[in-house]
Amino acid sequence: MGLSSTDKRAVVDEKGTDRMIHSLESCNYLKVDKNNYLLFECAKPTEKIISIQQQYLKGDRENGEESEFWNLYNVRLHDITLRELLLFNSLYVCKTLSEIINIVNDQPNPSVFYKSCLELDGAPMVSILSFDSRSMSFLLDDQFAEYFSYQYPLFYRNKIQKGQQADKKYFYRSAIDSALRSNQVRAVSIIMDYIVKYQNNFVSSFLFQKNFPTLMEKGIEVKNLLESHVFNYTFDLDEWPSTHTNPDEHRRPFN
Amino acid sequence: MIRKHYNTVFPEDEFEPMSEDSGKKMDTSKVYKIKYSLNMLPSLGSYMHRETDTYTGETTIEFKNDGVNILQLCAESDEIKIFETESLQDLVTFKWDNIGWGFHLFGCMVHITYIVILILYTNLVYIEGESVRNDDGTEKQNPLSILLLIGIIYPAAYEFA
Repeated sequence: MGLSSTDKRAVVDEKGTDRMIHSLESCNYLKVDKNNYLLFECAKPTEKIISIQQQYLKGDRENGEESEFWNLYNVRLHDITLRELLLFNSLYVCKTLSEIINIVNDQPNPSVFYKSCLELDGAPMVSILSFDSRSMSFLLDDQFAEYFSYQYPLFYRNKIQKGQQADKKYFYRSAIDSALRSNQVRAVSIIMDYIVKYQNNFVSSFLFQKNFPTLMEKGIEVKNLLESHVFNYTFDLDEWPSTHTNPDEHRRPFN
Repeated sequence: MIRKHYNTVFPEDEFEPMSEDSGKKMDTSKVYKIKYSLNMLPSLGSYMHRETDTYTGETTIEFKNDGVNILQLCAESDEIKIFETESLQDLVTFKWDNIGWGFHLFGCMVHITYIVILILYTNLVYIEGESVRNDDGTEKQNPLSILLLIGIIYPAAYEFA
């Protein structure tokens, strides 16, 4: 990764190997809010982690304020092996959906589909395959729960290239949006079940900010989503009192 | 964002944080642990978003999700079970307590007033048989008929709005 603001740049290293340098700014699309910060932890060559954080001030003006960062979610970038790249390439050259499903189902270890990599602009392959219900059904099955992590969610906003590479134009869409555009209602239900189980955090609510009316119009069941912590965030802040003598329940607006 | 806004959300004196030096008498024999929950369902519907630039101090206001009515979407949905969820129940209760109750109470009062005037008018004109014309043959101005006309404005506006 490079410090420049150029999206990505092809270079050749000292051994003559083709390399692609991605800029830090090219990952800005991962922010949930434009005020978020990105923390790049790339000290280990095999483990690169991008943390999306929100800054806040702790304490008060009288006793001194301290700037802190709150981790919203993390993306772990993997180095892709040649075998995995060939697998991804074969998915792109498939002419029918059945061929894609066969390739997905034939994998003895589906962990490659959960890996986020810069070759796919930071997205995991499972997110890109959201246009197909059967692939989603297989890849997001509970039998692979060992690969799912609360800390490293699979579904977040993806960066998708628009037109030719030379145009350097992108649009940003989540797996749910892609599945909805492909009219894959079952895939959306499966992704939502996954989110309720493994991304059960209010940070995931940004995935539904624009498409919730479409979910309702298409008759997709949202009861589990509404019952989850995605839209109901329980918090305990130092600045707010933790005890009181008033036992009543109060509902207050805040904007 | 909500971190430093306890006094904005709970401005009343009764919700002041308990402290020994506050000088106010509080019954501390029963103290309860508070559970704070933030319901984010309203952010799916249309709302006004105000943002202040930390450097310039300039405040901008914009409408988000313009035209999306979250409760209307839920009401039109075939999935009745969503109304069993706590987050939606909280939203409905909040809207009823803060907007619906006052709005429909006003409508109810207008309707009751209209019915009372209608009864009085019917009694006066049809049961007691008061003449609707003056001695010189001109039409008599009945104040109740004017009130009846005014009373019908609210239901008409409610229907067409």
